Amino acid sequence: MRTTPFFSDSSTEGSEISTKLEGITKKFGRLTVFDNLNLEISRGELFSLVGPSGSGKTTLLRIIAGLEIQDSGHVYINSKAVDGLSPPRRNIGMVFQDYALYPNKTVIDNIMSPLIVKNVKRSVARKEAEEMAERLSIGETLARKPAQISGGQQQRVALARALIKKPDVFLLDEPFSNLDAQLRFSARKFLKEVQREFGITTIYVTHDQSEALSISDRVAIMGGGRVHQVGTPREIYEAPSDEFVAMFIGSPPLNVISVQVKGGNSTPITMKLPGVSDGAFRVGIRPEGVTIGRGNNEATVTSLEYAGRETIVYLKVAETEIRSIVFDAGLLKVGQKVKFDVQQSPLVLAREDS
Amino acid sequence: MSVPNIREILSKRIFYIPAVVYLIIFGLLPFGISIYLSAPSSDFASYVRIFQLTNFPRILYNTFVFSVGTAVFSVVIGTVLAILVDSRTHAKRALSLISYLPYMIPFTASALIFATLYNPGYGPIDPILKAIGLPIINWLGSGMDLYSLTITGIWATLPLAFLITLAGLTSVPKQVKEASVVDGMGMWDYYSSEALPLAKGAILTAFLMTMILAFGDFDLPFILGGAGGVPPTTMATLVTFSYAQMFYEGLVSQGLATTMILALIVSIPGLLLVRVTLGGGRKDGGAGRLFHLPSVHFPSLHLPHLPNGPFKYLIYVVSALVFIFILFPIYWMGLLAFRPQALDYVIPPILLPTKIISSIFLTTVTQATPEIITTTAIAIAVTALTIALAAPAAYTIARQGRRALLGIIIYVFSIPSIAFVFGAFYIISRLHLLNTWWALILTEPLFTVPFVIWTMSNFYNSLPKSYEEAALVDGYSPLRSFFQIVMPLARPGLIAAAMVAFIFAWHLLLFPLVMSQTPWNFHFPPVGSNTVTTFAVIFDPDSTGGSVSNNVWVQLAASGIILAVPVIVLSVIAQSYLLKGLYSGGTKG
Repeated sequence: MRTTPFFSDSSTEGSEISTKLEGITKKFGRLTVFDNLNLEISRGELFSLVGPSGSGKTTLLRIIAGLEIQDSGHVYINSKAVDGLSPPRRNIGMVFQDYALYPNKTVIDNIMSPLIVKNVKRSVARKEAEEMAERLSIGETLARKPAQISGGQQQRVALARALIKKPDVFLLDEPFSNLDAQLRFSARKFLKEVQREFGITTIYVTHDQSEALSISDRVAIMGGGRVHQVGTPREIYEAPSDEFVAMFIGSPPLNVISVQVKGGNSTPITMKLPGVSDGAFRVGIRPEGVTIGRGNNEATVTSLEYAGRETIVYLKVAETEIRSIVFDAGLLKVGQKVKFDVQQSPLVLAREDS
Repeated sequence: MSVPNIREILSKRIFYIPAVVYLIIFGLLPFGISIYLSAPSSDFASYVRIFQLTNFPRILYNTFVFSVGTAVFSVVIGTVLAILVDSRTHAKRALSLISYLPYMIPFTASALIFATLYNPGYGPIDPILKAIGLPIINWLGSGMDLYSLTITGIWATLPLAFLITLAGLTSVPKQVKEASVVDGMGMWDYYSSEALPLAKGAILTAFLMTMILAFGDFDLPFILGGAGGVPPTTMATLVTFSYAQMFYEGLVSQGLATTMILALIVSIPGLLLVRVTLGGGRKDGGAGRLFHLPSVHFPSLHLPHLPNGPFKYLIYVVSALVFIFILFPIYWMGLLAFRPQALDYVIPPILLPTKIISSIFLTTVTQATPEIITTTAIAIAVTALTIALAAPAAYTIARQGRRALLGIIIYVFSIPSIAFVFGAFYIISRLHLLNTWWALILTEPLFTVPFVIWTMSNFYNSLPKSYEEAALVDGYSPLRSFFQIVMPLARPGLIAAAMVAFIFAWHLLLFPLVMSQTPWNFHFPPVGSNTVTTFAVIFDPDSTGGSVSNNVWVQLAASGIILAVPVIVLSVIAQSYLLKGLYSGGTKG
């Protein structure tokens, strides 16, 4: 059953917008998950919804799929309002967090099943499924049951099953969260390749910011029931819009501290703050922008975390602690007094005294 | 906002409408008939008369002693056995098998066997008591018979209490148990401070279930009370008392009024059970919270400190005694069924196997052939009907969070069968189906459908939702998704539920007793619907007296074994299916 919105947005007509969320509000009992959320996803892009657990990213994905119904607002897919449509009529493909492969069906039957329920002839469906399996390099597993293939293969079967119906939008809910670290890297790359090859609009939910930054065309950072920032991975990393995004992105995350600026000098840490007037600010300093050895600041080393290629050094200045990344920390010791400098310009996130 | 699709709504309701319609016709309607006929002249004369009966207070007293006594002791003993099994690392399966052995013996067979155990003179308990220097007890004499009945009740229901409590204890997270070991907790420390408090809900459920079972139990007090006529006032319960009024004394209104009083009394533990079961609160993020009952707050347990070593030995000693209590009647049943009749009636009784023969057992099987065929056919039909009605209903309840419906169904389950029997008898006689297989096939699902809905809804709750969501996204209709995706996934649960339904139907006594008159005539359509239970109870070709305990023991024990064997076989198969558990591998993790 189709419903038309009360007003139609002319900007979506014939544009390159694939999926549009307009004024989405969703409540579970007394808990408000989103209030008036808006988002636009362009055609053919790989778009990530990233946020800590409880930020509502999976709920948003399920609203796009039609598995949850929003309390108000509209979902448009290819400029068509799909609010009243059940999931199969939205023409979406979805990969679930636990894959949800039908355990009693073989791999080929799993891949074919969306076609079979559309009453596609069995022989035709079989041929398409075999082609799809070949493209995803799981051709040799077709006769097996899901329990008899590896985790990586299960994931490809789930991709194949979602892609075979040529969906308008491809939805993925944390598809790599149960793969081990080695497999995740190859699975990520594979997904990116598949997405490019099919040119399919993909909405991807993850809590792993580095995963989102590495594969996405654009990223939406979600937290506390709203979208904090939407942008390319570079925009998000280099210019976080607020402290939430700044704290969430990067590993180790940004140092977010309070500073007082007076007459061009900052306390407790001295740094270059071009064009900043006097006052109190929250600023973000990249750990890799803090160089130890010389500089205008003095600090005590409070802790060292060896991480192979680099070492994370915790420095204490007055009551403020900041992290620094050092590639050769051989001579540093806990308790040692060191000089350091803030090389890159810090990000001014907010004014505190207004 | 989204406009609900009429077809989708209908196809969702289609899942539980058949079960609800069935329960209205064969549950609500008989119950309504019973209420109506209990006070046909729209005054409450029959109710008033009951309270004026001089023996009524005594019968009320008996009912409470039997029910509460059975529940308390079953739960205490069941908990001891559950602790034993839970605390052991070896021989778990063997110990739990012994603990739930009585569960596999139908109530009818249990009662028959206890009737012989309690026999003055030929019974085997007296010489044992004498040997250890205790006085001889007249088990079925007035003054003792109520307690003998209660002991039988404890024997028959303690496996249920054991199974539920064990489920509670084993659901304690493994990490909690490991942490207690690392912290150096002893056995008593662990059970008193961790496991038992965490299993409180299970223990309360066990208590309520055994109590409800005992309140409504017909088989034990009926058979121990003589299996016919008016039961002795000293051990009559509301169930047997009302049965005698309705079917022997022709006091139908009065008998029905008694069943209504009983139904009212059982409503208290019944509603508590509903509350305990639904009050747990499901963590499904809102969809299931359409109907929310406040959860029951249990008082916290403050158990005194006991030394761990002696506690362990206390558990072992009590369990050993309980195992003797559990095993001896079963041994005795086997002994009676496979020895020459002459050895049964000897003073002092012979307790050890001296001569084993199978001829009488085989003769009994031959004699019972029509009943065995009838019971098997009816039980299969009841099972099929039950699964067809209950499985889709349970699925809807689990997935749509229909807690109110589940509450009603658990409540229906707790109402004693005696409250329905007259109304059902009335309906069946109006349909001219008395003494046919249809009579039992149509009426017995009243007991199996609610139970299977209840257990299967738990099972569906444990299935990951993502399969159905994947099916929905793939374009499956709700019906297609249910039959092609959900049903195959639910196969282990369905098989276990089917076995339970079969066992239920196999050992029902009250309904066959009321609806059947003759053995099957070997013709179709089948006429004559005596079952193995009725065969065992009324089998009395040349008994020495008017009561079951005076029946020919060897045939009585043989029919007990015929009753028990299919149940044992099915229980073992059902258990291995349950152990196989859910399918794995379709979802990760």
